[in-house]
Parts: sequence; structure tokens; C-alpha cells
Amino acid sequence: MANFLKNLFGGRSASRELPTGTPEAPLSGDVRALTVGDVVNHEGLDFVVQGTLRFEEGGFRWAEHLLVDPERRLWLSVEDDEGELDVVQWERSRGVDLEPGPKELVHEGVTYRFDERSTANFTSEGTTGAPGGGRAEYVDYEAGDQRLGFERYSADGQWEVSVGQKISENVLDIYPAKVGT
Amino acid sequence: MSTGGAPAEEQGPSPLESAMATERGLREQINDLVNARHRAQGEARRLGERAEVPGTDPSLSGVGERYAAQAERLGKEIESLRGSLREQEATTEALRADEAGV
Repeated sequence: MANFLKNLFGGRSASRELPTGTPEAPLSGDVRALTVGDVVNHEGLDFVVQGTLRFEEGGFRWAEHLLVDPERRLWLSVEDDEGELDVVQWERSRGVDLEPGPKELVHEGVTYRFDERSTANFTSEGTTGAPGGGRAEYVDYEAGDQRLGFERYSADGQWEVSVGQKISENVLDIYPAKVGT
Repeated sequence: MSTGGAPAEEQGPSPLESAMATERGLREQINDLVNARHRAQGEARRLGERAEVPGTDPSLSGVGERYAAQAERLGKEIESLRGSLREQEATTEALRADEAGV
């Protein structure tokens, strides 16, 4: 799911330590600072961040947030690539008969090209469905702004397949939880 | 001969700082309401499903409806606050532009 291992993910705690209401403080709607309990409005729906997976690989860090609405759930991956944000909205594809490996994969009429395959350490916060921490393997494919991601949390585990769409952070509205809640 | 001047006056927050604090407060209020609405919707759904189980007390569905009504009220409050946030966001951005000399 992560095709973007380049720079450090902005730390939540550091952002929250800044006093609010100062020009130096981050904008209230900072997707880099998302954490469990925050609310994200996207396409008219208010999602609550139910869980977060934080990945680290060779000093590069990124996060994947599980966003839950009563009717729908999706994942949002966020990576700060030297100041340029890479935000991708993902939805799990259930019952898909796909295995990573080929240079190209066709899914729902879209031809995705192989991007990268690697492993990363992760920790889990809140409820994600993943273990509390460990090592994950991932394989990324892409077609323009569209993504096809594979992840598994043990060497012989089943691949979780997700379809993603790169989006602008500016289409998201973030409502952070009160500090300390 | 006077050796001390008047104590330095503490500077209050700038208009931009105040506007950002107000905006953040609105966002936090919306967060609270959205979480409350999700809980109410969850309870309404749970009690609605329980009420379908044979033998459950008939009043259960009424309680579920109360949660559903609460979720609807919260939804209206959220939309009202969202409108205020949009206005506040515009104010904040205008002040930020002023400060940047745009």
C-alpha cells in the first residue's frame, strides 16, 4: 500500500504540543497529525478515525488510518514526502482472486503496473484488525493516480487487497479531538 | 530619580491567533458531535436489531427510535456548526493573507 517511502511522517505529538491559536501552530485541519478519535469529512461523510497503523522502513515513516462511518469504512494513507503530501484513499477488496508478482495486474478493467515490494515494521493504535505490532509485507501497483495494494502481516498470511485513489489533502476536512481526550 | 518603568504590558493574542483558536474550537465541537452521533446511530441500529428478536420487550424499538431521533438532532447541530466553521475559516484565511502581506 505504500509506494511512497521517502520522508518522515509528521509526528502527531509534536504537532499537538504547539500552542493552539499561534501562527506557528499547524492548521487545524492537518491530515499529517491525524490520530485515533479525530473526524475526517470526505465527500460529505463524517468518518471517525477508529485505528491507525504506523509504518517504519529504513527511517521512512507513513501512516494508514481506518476511517469509519456507520455505513462505510475506508483507509487513508498519509506520507509527507519532503513536504509534499501523498494522500491515498483505499477500500479493501474482499474475495479478490489476485496474487502480487506479475509486472502488470488487471483489476476491474484497470491495468496496474508493479511499483514496489518490501517489508516494514508497524505498530497499531486503536482498532485496525491488525496485531498490535510486528512486520508487514506490502506490494504496490499503480495506474496514474489509481493504486492497487497488497498487504499481509505474516509470511504465510493471506494478502489483503485494496484499491486506492490518490486525493488532495485539500478535499478533506479534519476535526481533531480535543487534546487529552 | 525613578529607577523603574511601568511593567511591560502583556500582549494579547493577535486577531489571527484569536481566529485560529476559534476555528480550532469549532472543529473540536464538531468532533464531539460527530462522535456522539455515531454512538447514537450505533445504538439505534443495535436496538432495532434486538427488537426484531422474538420475545424481546416491545418497548425496545421505541428506545431505539429515541436514539435515532437524537442522531438526527445531532446531525442538524453538526451542519449548523459546519456553517459557522466555513465562515470562521474564511475569516482566518483572510487574516492570514493580511499577515502575509498578500
